[in-house]
Amino acid sequence: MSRRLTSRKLRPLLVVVAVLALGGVAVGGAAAQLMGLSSNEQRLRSQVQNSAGEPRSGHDPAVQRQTSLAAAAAGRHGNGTRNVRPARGVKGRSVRRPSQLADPKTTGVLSSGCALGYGQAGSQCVAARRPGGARMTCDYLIRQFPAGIAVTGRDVLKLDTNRDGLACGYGDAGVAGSSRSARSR
Amino acid sequence: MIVLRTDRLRCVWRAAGVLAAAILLCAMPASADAAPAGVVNGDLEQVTNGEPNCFSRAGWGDNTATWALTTDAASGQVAQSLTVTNYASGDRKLIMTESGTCAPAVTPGATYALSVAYKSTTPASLTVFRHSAAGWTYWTELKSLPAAETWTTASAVTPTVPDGTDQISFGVSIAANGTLVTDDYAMASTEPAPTQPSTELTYNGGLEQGGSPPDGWFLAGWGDAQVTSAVTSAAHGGTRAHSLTLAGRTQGDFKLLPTEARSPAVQPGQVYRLSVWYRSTVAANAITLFVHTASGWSYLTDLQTLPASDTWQQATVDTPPIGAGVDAIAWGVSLGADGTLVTDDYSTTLVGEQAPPPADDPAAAGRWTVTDQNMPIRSIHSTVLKNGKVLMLAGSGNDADRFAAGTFEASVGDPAAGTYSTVAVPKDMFCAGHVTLPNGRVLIQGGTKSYPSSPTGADYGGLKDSFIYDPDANTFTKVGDANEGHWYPTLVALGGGDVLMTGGLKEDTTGAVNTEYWASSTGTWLPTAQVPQSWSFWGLYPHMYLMSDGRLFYSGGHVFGNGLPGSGASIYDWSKATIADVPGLRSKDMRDQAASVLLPPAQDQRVMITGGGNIDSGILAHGLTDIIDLKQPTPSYQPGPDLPGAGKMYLNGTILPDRTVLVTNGARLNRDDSTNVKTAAIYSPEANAWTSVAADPIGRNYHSSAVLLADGRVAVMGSNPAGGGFELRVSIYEPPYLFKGTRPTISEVPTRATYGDKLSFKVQSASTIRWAQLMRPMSVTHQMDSNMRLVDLPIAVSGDTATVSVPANRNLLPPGPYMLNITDSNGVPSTSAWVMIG
Repeated sequence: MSRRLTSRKLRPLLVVVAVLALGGVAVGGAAAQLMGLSSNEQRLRSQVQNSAGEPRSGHDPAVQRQTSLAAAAAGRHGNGTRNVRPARGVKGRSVRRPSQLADPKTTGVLSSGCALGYGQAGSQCVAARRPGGARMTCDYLIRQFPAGIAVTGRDVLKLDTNRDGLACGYGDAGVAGSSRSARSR
Repeated sequence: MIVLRTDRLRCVWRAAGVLAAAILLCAMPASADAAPAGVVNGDLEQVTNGEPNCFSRAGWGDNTATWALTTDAASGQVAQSLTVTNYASGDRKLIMTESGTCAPAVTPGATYALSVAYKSTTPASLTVFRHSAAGWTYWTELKSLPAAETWTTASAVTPTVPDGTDQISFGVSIAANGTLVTDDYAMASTEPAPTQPSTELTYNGGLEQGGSPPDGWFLAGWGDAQVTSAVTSAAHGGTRAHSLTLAGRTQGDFKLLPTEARSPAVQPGQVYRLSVWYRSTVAANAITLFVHTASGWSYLTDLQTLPASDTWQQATVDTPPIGAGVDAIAWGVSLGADGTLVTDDYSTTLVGEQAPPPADDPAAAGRWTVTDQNMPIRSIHSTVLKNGKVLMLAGSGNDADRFAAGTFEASVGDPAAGTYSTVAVPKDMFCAGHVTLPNGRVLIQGGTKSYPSSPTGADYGGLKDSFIYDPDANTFTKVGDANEGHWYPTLVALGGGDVLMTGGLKEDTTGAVNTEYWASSTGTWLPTAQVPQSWSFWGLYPHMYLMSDGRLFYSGGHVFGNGLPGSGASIYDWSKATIADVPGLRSKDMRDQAASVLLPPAQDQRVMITGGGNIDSGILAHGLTDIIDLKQPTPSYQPGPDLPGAGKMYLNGTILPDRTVLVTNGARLNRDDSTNVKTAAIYSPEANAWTSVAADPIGRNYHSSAVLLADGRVAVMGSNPAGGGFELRVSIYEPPYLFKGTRPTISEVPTRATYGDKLSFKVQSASTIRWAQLMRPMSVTHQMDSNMRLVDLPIAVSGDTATVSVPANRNLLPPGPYMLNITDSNGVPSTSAWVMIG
């Protein structure tokens, strides 16, 4: 009876203890390895191994080619290379490489990545792309132009949806407080 | 009380206690219990999911491995079979899992007898790995094993376990087609560990034991010299020293190094002091350092060059803090010229830990100050002049109204006095190229002919005009036009004193594909037909570096949009109008407004590029660092350590006189102030590592620039975010070396020198003088200074007089004004003296 009770009552606890113990084994190995190390050494060690003491990717010698000291010392570096001709094995060839620049007349975007048609051309810059690569929209642009920016050419990015001459001004799509923005919310 | 025991730890739980106590007690075993005392599951009988517990199937290379458990065991019911087919390279092996719970514990100073039962159709090796604070690394091939048809016991005793080693893992590896079966892995200690570890880490440093080479040492190196290596009785201490003589050398070096098994074990984060006594007939000696990591041995750096000496001299130098993953070092004195080098009494000792710098300690992180006085103009182009002042060019300053009004500006700042003076500017030099000429004047070519036009859709147009700024007269003088207009060109100073120009937009706003050549002797641009032409577009402000053989290296750094087609980096032999791509540059289309630098010293011919973005893409800038060693016959970029913190573009890179590189400022997106990244870090080529330092309190992106001043400070200027405003405040950075005690001084420095000269001057230094160098004054715009470089000057010090040697190779230091300074063994530089080279 006593033995059964003990078994029933303690079984869950023993499970807990066993789990903790096994966890302790896993943690303990690594924890003990960190004993006596400064925080800096621990930081450096954590760059090469995980909490279980296993090597991180790229730091496992068992899956990498090993370079001997003799081979490393026979490499071209340092003192012996001071008068070595650089890249002596590199042979060039004739390459005629035309300009790859896109024409702003076609793209509406200058070489500087700024869209034509907004503000003082060149000086002010409406980036053609918002973070992530999508076309610029007012909900992002107003961080840089909180009062909007004048449309001085073609509205290539469709930022002046109410066509009042001010891109990302009050009333334009994506501008907080504008009626369209309110509707979209 | 219930006591639960495992092989590894004792976990005590008190019935009346709390759960937290159980967690605590379970998680904090005694350190002696941390790893198993012997091989776990050495007979391979315990199997989970078809694999022996606590063993791992490992290997690398081009081959096919087939693993299977077999009942044909040496003992018990299970052995591990490995069959390799299609072998081309690499190896395969079963080893103890490299973890805290499986790999056996060892004690430094002890030795261990290892054994494995094996059968193999091909020769094999007993391979051992070890674990320390550096992580897991290869230790040694302990024994070669012959093929064996029947069960055979492979056994061997390890070398003495190095300091800091707490676990090992081993197995039998095969490196050929064949079948290997293993079983019964075992390990036993063969002798007790010594109780008192030695503080001297170099084995047989006095070279007294053994023959030639001495016990624990071997001769290493490369090149075409006739090498004579011998033990001599003309010793510094004891009765033996090592003599190394080279004859007929045209390239390469040789050195005495400790063997792999005797190389000092080291711990990450620690600094070690290296000391050796030497005599040498030539000034071509260097303390050369190698490091061992998980992938084996590699060269790290030449820590110190050593002058010639007829008498015994002691050379002492500290390593940089040992990097993550490094578990051993090897070092020696390399000889790189015909002559004789004698060495003796090598010593390696632990100095201690160099902790990462706390942000508020200027001796570790430097200090920023924002000057009281703002710049009078929008400085977009900054050139340090031969008198220490800074020429700042705005032109129209990226302001279309000023352009329309013909308002063009320049100013000269005097960092010593904290004052500015204005200079009359005849044309819009905004977005010109510039370079310091052999006489210290500044050539400015190009600039803005036209701003973009919304109605016409035209881009910027470049000017043909060229001007020379004379620091003595403080005036611009017009000289002959270039053949084409250039907006965003790069001007590179050549070894002969002339200038090569590439890239930019022409007057008609299209890309310039011509290469232009400035002849300093006539003060004119040569006609296009007289210049070798590849007719290739190099982009805008291409980051070009003059190589030591006169060719140009295009690092892949550029301004605006994608990189160039191909690999994105190349060697340009302008004299033959040929181009060769070099491989390895990562994210070549995300190197817009990256920082790239010819790493110091220039003799090393290594270029680093870090960070960058792409203003057209909307993709966040990154912090990838790639480094190329141009001395290799066929060089390729290799990954370096990532820039700390968030990635960024608009980085300002500056070579410092302690031979590090400061990288500061930046943003993640196109002129977007809200994405400014206020971080700064210093890259050490010696350690191949970044150290984060204090950051500029002002966020800066487009049109920001930084220059090294002659007194060792760095001035950072400008920022031109999307709204069109401009940051006029100047930040001054005082690097950590300005807070590390008394600076060495130099005096009576000659004002002129030519190639191959020896220069003598007076020095005062509380510490050993480590380096002397010439630094070309910066001329920077748009994160690009292709001419920035630091050139090592071999130095000999006698009393209070230093003598340095100016390199004979003009391509290492094109003629012109240079800042000469020295750096002591603590990394503290003197202020600079101006020397005209040419």
